[in-house]
Amino acid sequence: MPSGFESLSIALALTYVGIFGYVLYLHVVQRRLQREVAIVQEALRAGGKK
Amino acid sequence: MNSGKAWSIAKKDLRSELRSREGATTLVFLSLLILFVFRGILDPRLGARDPALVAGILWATFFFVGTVGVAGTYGRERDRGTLEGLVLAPGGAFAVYLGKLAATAALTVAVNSLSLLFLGVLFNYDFGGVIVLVWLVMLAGTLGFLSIGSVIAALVRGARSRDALITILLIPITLFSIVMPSVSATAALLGGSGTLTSNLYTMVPATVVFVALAYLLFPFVLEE
Amino acid sequence: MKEGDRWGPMLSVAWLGAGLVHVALAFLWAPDPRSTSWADPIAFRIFFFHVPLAWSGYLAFGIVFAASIVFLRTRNARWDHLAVASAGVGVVLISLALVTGALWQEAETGEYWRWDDARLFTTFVLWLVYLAYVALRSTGEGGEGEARMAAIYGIVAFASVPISFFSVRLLPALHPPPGSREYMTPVFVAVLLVGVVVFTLLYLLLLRHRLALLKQALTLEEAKQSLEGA
Repeated sequence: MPSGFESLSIALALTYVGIFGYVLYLHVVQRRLQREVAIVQEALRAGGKK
Repeated sequence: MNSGKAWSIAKKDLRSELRSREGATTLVFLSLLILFVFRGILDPRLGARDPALVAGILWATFFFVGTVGVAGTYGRERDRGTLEGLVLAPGGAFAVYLGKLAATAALTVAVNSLSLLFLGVLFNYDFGGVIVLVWLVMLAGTLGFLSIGSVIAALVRGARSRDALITILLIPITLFSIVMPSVSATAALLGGSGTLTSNLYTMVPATVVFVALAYLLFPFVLEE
Repeated sequence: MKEGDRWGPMLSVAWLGAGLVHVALAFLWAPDPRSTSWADPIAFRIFFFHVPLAWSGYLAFGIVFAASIVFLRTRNARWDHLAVASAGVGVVLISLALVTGALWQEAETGEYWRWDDARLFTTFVLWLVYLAYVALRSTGEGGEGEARMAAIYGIVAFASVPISFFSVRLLPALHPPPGSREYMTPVFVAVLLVGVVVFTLLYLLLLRHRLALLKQALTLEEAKQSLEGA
């Protein structure tokens, strides 16, 4: 059984890693979506010019 | 709410059920299959030593049958496209709910009763005088499970992978409110620890709340 | 759709500050050395994180519940968006609550889980509810139909949590352990409340983030549809 301090550190680490990990995940997905939107919008403009 | 409509839906469903026998046969075979599996892996004299195990086997069977039963009730309707007609007919969504619940419950309780018989035979288990109470607990648990099971089955009738969804969606809702109390009550009756009444105090109010939720939400459930 | 997010970074930094203060308080709080309420006073501080996490997990699904009701009545897609976003954030929070709860339980009793702890148990039930809700939303039906299904399930599932909770109180095998309340000193409660506030703010910030993501996804859908139409 890990010591109390170990348990606390693990709990703390997991909590904050979890939070930051989620924020990072949201960021990554958002960037990808922004890129895709830009691509589609570019295609629309190109289509309009024809 | 039109109770006449509910009654006529129930009768119609049961009649078509008995005529086709498709649903009933499936359920009976499912029950036998489950019991045989347990029979194959367990000592047939288990009853004498572990009431909790007997209760567990019984309720595993009851809930499987209940899930498949309720999925069938709304699945068949959906495949035949007849549910919309029911909704349009006057009387209200709650009448549809009650009617179908009554029909499904009648079928499921019948099959579950057979399961009690099958278990007694397969495991050479003698319920003794307590069989009546065990049957009543089965009735209560089955009704509780089906009361909300119908709502979920009707809800996802149009979704892909609806059968898997039904189980996934039902577990969080019924595990502690219906499933565990049912098993616990039955185990208590068969000689194990725990009391019958405390479990009923859980299951019955839960069922009442589920029916109330159905009353409020079924109109939305039936939308297309 | 604005490219920049002026408030975002500022709010995040502000929250980090608040979070740090909370962590500091959790470490500075000293238990009464004569108290026998817990096995390990150091590990007990996990409580200051587990409880706020669980609270915000419940709050998040409460929002899912409320948004679902409003959606059913108004059919305004905004409320469905709120439900999706809140569920997404809530699943993370409740999972963390579960993990920290297990860690605390382990430090206290040596076992990672105890069915007779009512709070741990309710957190578990809510976690199952979240998983089911997320499973329902990922079937890919999309549109009004999926929103309606999810809204109804959100309402039913949330209502079932108190039912499950009361069942546990009565189930013979699951008696809640006799709790000693002597650790509930005013200072203790104060630190706990700070935690609750901090994690509520966290929920709101994450929700904001998640909603922005949702909006982005919708923009993409619209753009794609214009492209197909052109």
